[in-house]
Amino acid sequence: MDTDQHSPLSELRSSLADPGGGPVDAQPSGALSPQQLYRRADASALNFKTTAELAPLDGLVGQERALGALQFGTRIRKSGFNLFVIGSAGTQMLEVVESMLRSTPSDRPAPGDWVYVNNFEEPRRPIAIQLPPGRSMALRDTMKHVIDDLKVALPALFESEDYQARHAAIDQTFQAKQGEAFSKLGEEAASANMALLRTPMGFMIAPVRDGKVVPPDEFNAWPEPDRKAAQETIERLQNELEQIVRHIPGWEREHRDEIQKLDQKTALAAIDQNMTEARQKFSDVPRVVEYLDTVRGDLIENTALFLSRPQGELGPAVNAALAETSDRYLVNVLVCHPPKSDSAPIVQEFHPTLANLVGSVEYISQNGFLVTNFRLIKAGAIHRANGGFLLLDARHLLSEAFSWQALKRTLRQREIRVEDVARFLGITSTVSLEPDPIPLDLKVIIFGDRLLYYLLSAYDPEIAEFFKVVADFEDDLDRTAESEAVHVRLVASLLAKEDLRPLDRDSAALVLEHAARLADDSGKLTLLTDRLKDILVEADFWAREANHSVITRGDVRRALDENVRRMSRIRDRSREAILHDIALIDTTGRRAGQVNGLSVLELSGYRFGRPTRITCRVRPGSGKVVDIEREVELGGAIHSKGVLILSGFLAGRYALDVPMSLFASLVFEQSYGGVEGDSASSAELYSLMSALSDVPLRQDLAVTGSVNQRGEIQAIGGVNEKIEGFFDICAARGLTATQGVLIPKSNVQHLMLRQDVIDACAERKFFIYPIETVDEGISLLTGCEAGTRGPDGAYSAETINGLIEARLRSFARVLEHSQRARSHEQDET
Amino acid sequence: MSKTKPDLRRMLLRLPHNRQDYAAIMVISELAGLLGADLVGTYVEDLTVHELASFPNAREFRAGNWQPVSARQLARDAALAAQDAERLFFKSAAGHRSNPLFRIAKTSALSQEALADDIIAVIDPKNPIERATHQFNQFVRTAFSSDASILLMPSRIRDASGPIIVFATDPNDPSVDTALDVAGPTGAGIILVAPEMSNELRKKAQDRGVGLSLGQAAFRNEEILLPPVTTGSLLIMNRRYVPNRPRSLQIPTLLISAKLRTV
Repeated sequence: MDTDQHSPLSELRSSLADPGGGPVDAQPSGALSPQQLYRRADASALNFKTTAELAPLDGLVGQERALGALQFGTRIRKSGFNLFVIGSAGTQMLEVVESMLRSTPSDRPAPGDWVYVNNFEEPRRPIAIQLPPGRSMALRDTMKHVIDDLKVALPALFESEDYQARHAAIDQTFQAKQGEAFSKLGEEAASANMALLRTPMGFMIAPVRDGKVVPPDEFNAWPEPDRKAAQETIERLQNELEQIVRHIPGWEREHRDEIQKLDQKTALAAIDQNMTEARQKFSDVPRVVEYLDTVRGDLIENTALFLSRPQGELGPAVNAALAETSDRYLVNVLVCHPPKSDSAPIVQEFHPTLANLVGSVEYISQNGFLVTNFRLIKAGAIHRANGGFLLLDARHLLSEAFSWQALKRTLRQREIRVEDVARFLGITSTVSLEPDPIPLDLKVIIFGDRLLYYLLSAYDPEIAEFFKVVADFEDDLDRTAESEAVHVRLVASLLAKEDLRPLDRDSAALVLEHAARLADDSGKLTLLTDRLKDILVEADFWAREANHSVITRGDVRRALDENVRRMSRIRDRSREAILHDIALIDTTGRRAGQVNGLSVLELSGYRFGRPTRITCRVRPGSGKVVDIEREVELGGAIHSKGVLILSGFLAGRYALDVPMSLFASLVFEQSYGGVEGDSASSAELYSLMSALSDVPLRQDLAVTGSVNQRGEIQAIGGVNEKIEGFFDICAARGLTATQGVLIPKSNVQHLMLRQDVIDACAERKFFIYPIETVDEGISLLTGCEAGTRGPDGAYSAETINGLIEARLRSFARVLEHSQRARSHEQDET
Repeated sequence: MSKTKPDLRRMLLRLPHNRQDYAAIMVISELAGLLGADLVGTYVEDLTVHELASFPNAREFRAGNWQPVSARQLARDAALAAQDAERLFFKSAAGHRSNPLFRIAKTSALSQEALADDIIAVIDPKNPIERATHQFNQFVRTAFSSDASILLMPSRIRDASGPIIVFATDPNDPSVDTALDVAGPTGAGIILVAPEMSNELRKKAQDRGVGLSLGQAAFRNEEILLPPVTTGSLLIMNRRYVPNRPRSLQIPTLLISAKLRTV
C-alpha cells in the first residue's frame, strides 16, 4: 500500500505539478556567466597584422616529449630500439618525423648498393654482393657490356679460319683414326673375301665373291675346310669389329676433350680481354673481383652458349633459351643509392604487403611452366631503407597478411630474407630461389593511433622487444598567451605550406578559438593540424570568392558554418522530428519520472548533440533497477555500468535498515539505436528520484553528466555539442527565459559555445548550470530541497530525499506483507 | 623459247639407316626445291641381306654386341626400318617445294637408274661403320660411275649460310646457271672461281639480283685443290674436275654431270 497517497506531502507534489505545462519561475542563480561559456583568444599576444609576418614553425609545437623520444630513438644504434610513434589521426606525425629526419644530419654512414648475381655452383641460392654507393649500376653495365662483347667476339673467333682449320684438323684426326680402323678392317675383310654388310638394324660380316655376297646355298656347298676357314675368318673379323667399336666412345671422348681444349684456348683470349678490364674497374671491391673470377671460369666452361645457332622449327625457341642462359652473367641491381650520398635513406612504404616489404621472387611463364631466376628477385622497402629509416603505417602494416610477422622476423634475424608468399600459402610447388640473406641495419618507425599500439602491446608481447622507443604525440597544448602566439605561427606555417592567403589578426584569433573548440577544452589548443588545415583551405576559398587579399574573420566564420551546414543533414532531420513532435521532447512544464537527457552523435568527424527523453517507472520489487536498453541489448557496457551505479547510490543512501524492495525501469524513449557511455547516468538518477518521490522534474532543463555511487556529478565529453543541441530545440520553439542545461561543474573548463548560445545566456534567455552533486541537480530540477539527514538520522519529510526514503519503506512494507500472505497460503495448503 | 638453265629432274636420295644423318635431308630438300627437282627418297631393302640368316652361326652386330639373327627377324626389322625411314624422310623434307616422294627399292640399283638430268644425293654417314659397309661403298662407286649429277653431303654441316662457290673454267658451264638458280631465291652471293667472267654472265647475274664476284683457286693435276676450310653454303663444280669421291668435305658439294648442258 502506498501510504504517501494520504500524507501531507501529496499536497507538495500537487503544488509542484504543472498539468498545463505553463512557465515556471526562472531560477538563474548559480548559472554561468557569458564569460565562462567561451574563452576568447588573447589579442594582446597577437602582435601582427597578418600571419605573413610570422616566422614559420614545424609541426613539433608542444611535442617536447615526442621530440625527445624521436631524437633518442633515431640516434641510438642498438637492436630493438625501433620507434613506435603514436598519436591521434591528424597530428601529421609522419610528415613531422620525415621532415625531422631529412633536416637532421644523420650520423649513419651512407649505405652501400646491393646486387644479386648468379651462383654458378648452386643456382637456387643467388649471391648477394654489397658495393659502394652508386657502383651497382656500373657493375651491371660492365657485365652487360662484357657479355654483349662476347656475344659478338666469340662467334667471330670461332668462325675464324684459324679456329675452323684447327677444328677441322681435330675432326679429321678423329675421323681418320676411326676411318683407318674400319678401312683396315675392310681391307682385311676384302683380302679374305669378306665384307661388312648393313642389315636393317645392325651389321654382319659375310663372304663375298666378285663384289657380291656369296649365297648361303653356295657357301654350304663349299668343302668343309673352306667353310671352316671362312667361319674362322668371320669370327676373327667380328672380334676385330667389336674391338674397334669398343674403342669408339674413348676416341669420341678424346675428340671432345680436344675440341673443348681448343674452344677454351680460343675463347680465353676474348674472355680475358673483357674480364681483365672489368676486374680493374672493381679492383677495390674484393667480393666483386671474386665474382668476376667465377664468371671467367664459367664462361670458359660454357663458351658453347655463345656459339649455338640452331636452325629449323625449334630454332627461335632454342635461341631464346640460349639467350636466357647467357643472361645468367648479368647483374640484378637490387638497391642503388646515389653516388657520393652522405645521407641515410628514408623510405616510406604505403602498401606494406609482404612482397613490398621484404621483396619477392617473381616468376615468368615459359611453355606453361613457371620459372624464375636470380634476375627476378625484387627488392622490398626494407632493402631500400637498409642503412637508414623505414616509415610504416601500423594499420596498413597489420592489415596485410604475413607482413607484421615478416617484419619482426627480419628484425630478430637482423638480416633480410626474401620470402615467397605463394610458398607460405602452399599454392605453388614451383622450384623457387633461396637468395643470400642481406645483413640488416635498419631503424623502423611505425606510426599508429594509441588504441592500436596499446592493443598490440597487450596481445603481442614481442612489440616490446622490437619497438622499445615510443614517441607519443600530444593532441593539444595548454592554452596561454604565449602558446597562442606559437600556435598562430604553426597556423602560419600551414598556410605557407599549402600556399594559402595569410590570416589577419582577427581571423587568426577565431582560428585559435576554433582550435580550443576542437580540443574540447577552452584551456587547450588542438595540435590536430589536419583538421585546422581543412578549415584554413576552405577559408582561403571563401576569401578568394570575396576578393580578399587576406583571410578575414568572416571568411573563417563562413568556412566553419559551411562545414557544419554541409554535414548537418542528419542533425536537421533529428531536430525536425523533435519540433514536429515525432520525437517527444518537452521544453516547458514539469513531469514526474521524466527528464531530458543529452546525447552526442558523431558522424564522419562531425558531432552534434540532441535531447533524449529518459523516463522511469517504479513499483515494489526485489531491489532491481532495470535498464531497458540493456535488457534489449541496445545498451553498451559503460551505459549498463552507469545504471548499476544508480542501484549502488540508492542502496547506500536510503532506508538502510530495510531491504531494498524496489523495482524500477529506466528507458531512453524513442531510442532505436545503441546507447553507450555513462553521460546520462545523472539524468537517469534524477528521473528515478523523481519517480520515487513522485515530484515532477522541470522539462525546460536538460541534463548531462555521469554520477558515482556517492552522488557526485562527473565530467563527460561533448559538452558543447550537447548544450547547443538542446538550445537549438528551445530556440526553435521560442526561448522561455527559464530553459537551460545542467552540466558537470568539472566540464565548465571545456566550454567553447557557439555565439548564439552565448548571446542568449547574456540576455538571460538561457542558462548553463554547473552541478557538483545529485542533490544540487535534483533541487534545481524540482525546485524542492534535496534534504539532509537530521540528528535523528532521518531525512525531513518535506524534502526529496525524505520522500524517496518514505516511498522505499512503503515498498518494503508492501513486499513484506505480500511475502507473509504467500507464506500463510502455503501453510494452509 | 630457249632454256638458259640446266633442267635437273630428280634428286635421288638413298635414305640413311642412322637417324643422325637425316639432318642433311633438310638441306637436300631445300636444294631440290630451289632447283625445281623432285625429291625421291628411297629406302633400299637389300634382299641379299635377308639370305645372310641362312649362314651357319649367323650373327648380327647390333646395340654393341653380336647377336644371333634369323631370316624372320631380318624381315621384320626391314619392315620397321622402312617405316621409320619413311616417317623421318617426310619429317625432314617438309617445308620445302621439293615434292618429296618415298619409295622402297628391292635392290641397290638406285644409282643405276639415274640419268644425266638427275642428282644422286650421297650423305656421308656420321657413323664410321656405316661408311665402311659394303652397300655404302658400292652405292658411292655406282653413283660416280653414273652420268648423273652428285650431291655430296658432309657428315657435319657447319653452317648453312654463306656464299655459293662455283668452280668453272668455262663460262658456259651449267654449274654457273645451277648456282644462279640456287642463289636467286636465297639471296646468297656467288663466288665464281674461274679464269674470267663474261659480260653475258655478269648481266645474267644482275638480272636475277645475284651478287657475283670472281675468286681464285689452285689446281693440281687439273683437279681443283680444295682449301682445308671452305667458307660457304654450297660448292658447285663440274664432275669432270672431281672424277672420284673426295676424301673430306666441309660443305655440301654439288657435282654437276659432265653430260649436262645449258640449253
